[in-house]
Amino acid sequence: MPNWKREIRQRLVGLKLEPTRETAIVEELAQHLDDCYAELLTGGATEEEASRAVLAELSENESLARELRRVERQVAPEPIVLGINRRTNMIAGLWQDLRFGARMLLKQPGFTLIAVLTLALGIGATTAIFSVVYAVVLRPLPFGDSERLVAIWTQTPQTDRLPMAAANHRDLKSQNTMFEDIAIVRGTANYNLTGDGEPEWLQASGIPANLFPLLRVKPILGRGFTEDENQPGQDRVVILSNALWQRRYGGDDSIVGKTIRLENVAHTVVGVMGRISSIQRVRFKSGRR
Amino acid sequence: MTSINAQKFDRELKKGGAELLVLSLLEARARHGYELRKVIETRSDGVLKFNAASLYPLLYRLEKRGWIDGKWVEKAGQRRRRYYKLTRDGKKVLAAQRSIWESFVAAINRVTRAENA
Repeated sequence: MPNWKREIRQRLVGLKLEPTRETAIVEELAQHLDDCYAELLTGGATEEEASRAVLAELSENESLARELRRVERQVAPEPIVLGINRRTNMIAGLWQDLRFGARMLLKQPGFTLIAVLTLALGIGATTAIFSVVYAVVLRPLPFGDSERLVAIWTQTPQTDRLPMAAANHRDLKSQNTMFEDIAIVRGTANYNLTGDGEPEWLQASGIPANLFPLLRVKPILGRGFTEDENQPGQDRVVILSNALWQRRYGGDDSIVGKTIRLENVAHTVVGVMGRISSIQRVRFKSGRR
Repeated sequence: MTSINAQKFDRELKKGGAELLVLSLLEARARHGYELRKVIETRSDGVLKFNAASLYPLLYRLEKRGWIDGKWVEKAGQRRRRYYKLTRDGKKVLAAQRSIWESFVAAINRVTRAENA
């Protein structure tokens, strides 16, 4: 059987079609010519007669190339010239690719739907994971110069992280040449708030006077703790969280100086904190270093 | 009314007729190019013949307009072939072209009958 593909390709040379498009046209036309050839042989034609008649299919009344030129998009290969800015052509190609992509997607709605759903799920899952990672790892702390804050833990052969003992903290602070300041924070503890309404169960943390200046935060009402209030017997003072102040005391500006009872012991309110997301749930109680 | 010369009229008539033939044959089911050619030839008792050089450019033109859709299909025991089917737009175009064609043929008939009377 003659090589129809070669014959067809010869007739398409001048069209400068995209290679994939040209291959598809050649394959389809070659099949057509195969069928014609087989039919002619079956009808009693010799191979030579059949071959001549089949080739006439390509150029009998209309030239194949002339007809295809009216329909097919031709690719004009651009010469590569050093020093020429190709940005314009890249943008033109991008627009063409986008239109082609859109047409292909519209032609296959099932595939498009699955692809879009897959992308939506992927993007959704990635966004959710990133939100968690951002909140836990990446988001800067809501304090001034937060990139300069570090947490110091005690390490033993048995345990990687232990809260620091007060004596160690005192030694570290006295020998510190590296940090601007060091503050020790006790873990939160539970306290019963009584005496001025419904009893309430609170969590509070004992903090030293230098913690808020170190974190670059200030109470929105009143003041922070003083060095004297770190001493035993003078530490019956508290700073309220913004949430507790709003909820229990209705945002009363005159709360500073008033007394509240924690564990049935009178404490003086010396300040109220602003809205800081990471310490909304904790009240502060003066504590010893 | 726009007047057209005889050569252009003949070309447009052939083009419009060829489009109508292909669209009509694809209305019932998908067919490949060689099958279209055979059906046209057989049903017209050999009066209408398409060669490859005119049939495939016509198919590609209709496909480009979105009236037909070509897909490579592999069937067991057969070679891979490109089947064309009518699209939704193609159905609308076919209905319109049929109507125009019928009006055209009716008009021609009226004219020729009048000449013969």
